[in-house]
Amino acid sequence: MPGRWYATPRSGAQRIWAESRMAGNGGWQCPDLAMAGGPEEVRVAPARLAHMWNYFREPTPAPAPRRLAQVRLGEPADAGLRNAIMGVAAATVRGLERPGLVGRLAGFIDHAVAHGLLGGEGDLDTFIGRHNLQKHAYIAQELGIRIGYEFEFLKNGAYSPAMAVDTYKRDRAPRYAEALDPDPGATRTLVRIARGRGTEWLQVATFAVRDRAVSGALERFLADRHRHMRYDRRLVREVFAEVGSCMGAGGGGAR
Amino acid sequence: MSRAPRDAPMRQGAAANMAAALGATLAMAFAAHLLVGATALDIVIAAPPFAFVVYVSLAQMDAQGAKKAEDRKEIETLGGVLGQCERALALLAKAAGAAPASPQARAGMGHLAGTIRLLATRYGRYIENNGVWAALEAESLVMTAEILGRDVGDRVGPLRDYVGVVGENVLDEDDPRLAAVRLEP
Repeated sequence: MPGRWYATPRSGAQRIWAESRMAGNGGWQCPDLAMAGGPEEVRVAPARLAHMWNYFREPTPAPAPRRLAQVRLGEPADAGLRNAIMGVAAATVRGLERPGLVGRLAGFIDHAVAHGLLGGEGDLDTFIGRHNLQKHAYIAQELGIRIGYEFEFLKNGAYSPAMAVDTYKRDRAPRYAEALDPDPGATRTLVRIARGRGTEWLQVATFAVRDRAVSGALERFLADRHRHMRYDRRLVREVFAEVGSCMGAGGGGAR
Repeated sequence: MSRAPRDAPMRQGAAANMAAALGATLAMAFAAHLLVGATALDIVIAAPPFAFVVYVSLAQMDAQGAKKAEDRKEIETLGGVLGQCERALALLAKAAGAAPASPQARAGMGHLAGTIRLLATRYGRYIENNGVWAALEAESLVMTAEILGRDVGDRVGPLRDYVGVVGENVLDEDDPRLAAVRLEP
């Protein structure tokens, strides 16, 4: 029936599957044949799956043929479908990956409490406790205790958004202290650098640890007034000297 | 109908200060004459510098008062911005619950990021260090969720905490640290 395809609203998934056939065949123009099977169908299946994956992964759909009526009919349903599928996919990925990471974080927290870096888990109920933990974790990672987070540098030192989120989930995570497996030498250095230190000390220490292999890092840090907060110059000198003596100015350190 | 010039209150304040300085000088002259027997020559010599010092002190007190009133107003506005953050967070939680990657959730994050940035930059001087650090971290948390497409639902709880920490660390207008800043030239 001529024009039937344009007049019949299809569900989002049906339309995308039909379009994916066109993508797999390199420009097929008749989506009504999408239901046909055969060896050709098998050959283009991977390309069709890739097309579908890209469709759901990207915020904007793959370029569609110029069928305005169809696009108008399909769009709202597609957005809902895409969001639903991405939500399920994200939850699945979280379910698979996050517990291990959160578990290692929980293990690190136990480790930090055992070595006196934190007064107890109760410290983490306060903002400053969680803030200090971020700095401890960054220094620990740089010393080779692999927890698994990526850090960025704010004006007040190292910070990991993912770790900040996971800190709230630690109660629900299983303990993987054995998976953390910290090297005793690294732990000793971490304790020497971080135990009993104030928040600003730890903030500066993350900068010092990051720049330990850079020559003239201290002078540059003191001269730079925009990329970090204003710290007491004496404190900065003290922190850089301590970190340098613990980890080695050449960048070798305890690693 | 003629409109009063914009600096009218300032002129009125200056005139009042001058009148007060003159009054204080006359009182000082009278007291000096009675108590220590100051002569007319003594009073003529001592009165102008005395009047000047009194006038400058009064003007300084006025300026401090004006700065304090401005700080009070800014702190009130800061409270409004914090309220806006809380409202945005509530809407964001709703939008993220419906669909984590929806345009509404993204728009909410964009709005929240802008509002938090405003807290850290414009109102940073009215917030204690802890609050400023919390604002920086909140901004980073929203920005990464926005740019890297992370799940918003997970971040609403921590963000609410951060905004709470900022709110707890807002300085009072009478705080000595703010007063010290006001005294700076």
